[in-house]
Amino acid sequence: MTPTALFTLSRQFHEDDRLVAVVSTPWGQAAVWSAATLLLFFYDRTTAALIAPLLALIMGFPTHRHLILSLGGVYVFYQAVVERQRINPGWEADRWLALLLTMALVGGGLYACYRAARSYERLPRLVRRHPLLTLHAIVWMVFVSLLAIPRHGHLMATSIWLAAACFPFLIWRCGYMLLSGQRRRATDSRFREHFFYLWPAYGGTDVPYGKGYDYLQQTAAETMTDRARAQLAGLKLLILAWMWQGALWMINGFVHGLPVDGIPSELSGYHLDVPRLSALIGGQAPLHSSPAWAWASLFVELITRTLKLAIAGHVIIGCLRLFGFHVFRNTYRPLLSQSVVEFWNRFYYYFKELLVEFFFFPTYASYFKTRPRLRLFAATMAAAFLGNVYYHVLRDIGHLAAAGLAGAWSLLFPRVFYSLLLALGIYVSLLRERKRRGRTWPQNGPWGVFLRIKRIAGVWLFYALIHIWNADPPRLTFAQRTDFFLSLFGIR
Amino acid sequence: MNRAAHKAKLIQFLQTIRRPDRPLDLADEHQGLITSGLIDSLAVLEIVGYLEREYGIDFSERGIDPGQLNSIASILDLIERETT
Repeated sequence: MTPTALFTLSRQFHEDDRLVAVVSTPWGQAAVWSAATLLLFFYDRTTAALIAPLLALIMGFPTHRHLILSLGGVYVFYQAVVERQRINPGWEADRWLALLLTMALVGGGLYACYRAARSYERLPRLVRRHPLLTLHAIVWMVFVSLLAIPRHGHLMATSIWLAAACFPFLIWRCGYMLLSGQRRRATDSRFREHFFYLWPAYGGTDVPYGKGYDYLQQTAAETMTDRARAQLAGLKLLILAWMWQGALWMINGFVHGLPVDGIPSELSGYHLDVPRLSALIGGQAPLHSSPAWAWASLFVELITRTLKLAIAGHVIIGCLRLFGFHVFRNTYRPLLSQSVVEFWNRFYYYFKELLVEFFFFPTYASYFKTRPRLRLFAATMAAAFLGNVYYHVLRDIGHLAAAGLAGAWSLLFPRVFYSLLLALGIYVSLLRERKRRGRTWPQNGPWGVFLRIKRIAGVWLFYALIHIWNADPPRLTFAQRTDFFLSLFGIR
Repeated sequence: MNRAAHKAKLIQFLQTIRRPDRPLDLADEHQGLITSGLIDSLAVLEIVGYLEREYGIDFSERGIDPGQLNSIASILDLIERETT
C-alpha cells in the first residue's frame, strides 16, 4: 500500500468495504465494542458505564434498538430528576414518592404530546397552524402557574416544580415530535420510537443532537453492512474527539500556560503566556502595551471554543452512530468556512437546525411572501436573533428568575447584542451567497488560494469579534465587553 | 400538466440554482439534492419560492419540510398532491 493510499484509508476507514465486511462479523462487532468502550472509558467513565452495556445489547438485538435505547433513556431521566432533587435544597423530602410522581407527570406530558403528534389532523386548526407556539404557550402557562405553588412543602408542589424543571430540556424535543405530526410522519409510530430521543441515553444538552423522529428514522441503518458503516463512522468521531482533546491540552499548556495533566513541568515552563479572553475582558489579566496579545487571545479563544464544542459533539454523535444512526456531525470543519453562513452551519449544526426548523422556516413560510429580501431578513432575525435569545432565556430561566428583573436584563443583554450582530452577519452573508450562486470562482492557483484564505480570515475575524459579547462567564458586563472591544482598536 | 412536464420544468429551474461544479443526475429522481451537495441548504428556500410561484402551494399551514424537498421525486410527489 502506498503512503497516499494509507493516508486516505486512515482518514476514510469507515468507507472501506473490506473493513466494513470485517466489522459486520461477530468478531468485528466485538472489536468495535471494545474499541468504543476503551475510547469512552478514558473520556468519561460514567458515559462508558452507560453506553457500553447499551451498545452490547443493541449489537445482540438490533431489531429492539428503540426499546433498548428507551430503557436507557428512562435510566438517564431518573438520574436527571435525582440530580435536580439534589441541587435544590428542600426538594429531597419524600424523595422516592416525589421522584415517582415527577416521572409520572413528565411521562404524562410527553405521552400527551405524542398523542397530539399522532392524531395531528384532529387537532384544532389554530394548533395545527401554530404547533410550536401552542407548545411553548402551554409550557409558559405552567411556568407562570408555578408562582402560585410554593417551591417547598407538600409532595405535589415539589413534584410539579421538579417536572417543570425538566421542560427546558424536553421542549425542543417535543417540538420535533410535533413537527413529525405536522409532516404526517408520526401517524403509525409507537411511543417508544419517540421516547428514546426525548431523554436520550447518548447524551446531549437542551439542544437535541440527532434532532427528532423524522431525521433519526431517515438515518437509521437497517442492514448489518449499513450498521457496520455507521459504527465505524462513530469510532472515527471518538478518535477525532481524542485528537482534539490533545490539541486543546497543548493550547492550554503551551499557549495559555495553564497546568495540564501529563505535560512535564519542565516543558510547561515554555509557553507563550497568552491570557484567556475572559481574564482580559474581566480585567484580571493586564493588557500588554501592544494590543497584539489581545488579538491573539481573541483568535485562540475561537479555536479553543470550536475544539471544545467539537469534542462534546463528536462523543454524542459518535455514540449515536455506534447505535446505528448515521447522522451528521455536530461540528464539521467550521474553521475552514468561507462565509459567515457556512460557519454557522458547520459550527453547531444541531443548534442551527433547531433555530432554522422552529423559527426560520415558520417565519419564511408565513410572512412577506411578495418581498423576497424582507422575507429573508425577517426569517433570519427570527432564527438567529429572537430564537437564539429565546433559547437561552429558556435554558437559563432558573438563574434569570433568581437574578430579578434588572439582574436578568444585565445578564441577558450581552447575549441579545451578540445575537443581533450574528443575525445581521448571517443576513448579509445569505444575500452575498445568493448573489454568488451559479457563478464560478477560481479554485486553484495562487489567486484561488488567496481568495480562499481571504474569505476564511474574514469569517474568523467576524466570529472572533462578536464572541466578545458571548464569552463566559455570563457575569462579565456589557460595558466590560464593549471596553475590551474598543481597546482592540486602541480606543480606551 | 403531467408528471413528465412538471419534471422538465423543475429540472430547468434546478439547473439555475445548482452548484456550478455539480452536475444534475437526470436519470436518478431520488438523488438527494442537498445530501449529494448539488444544492446548498439555502437553495431550499429558492425551491419553496418556486413552488409557491408556479403552483400556488401554501407552506404556512403545512410547514416547510426539507425532507420533502430533497429529491426531484419527492418534489414531484408534493406537486402532484397539491395540484390534484
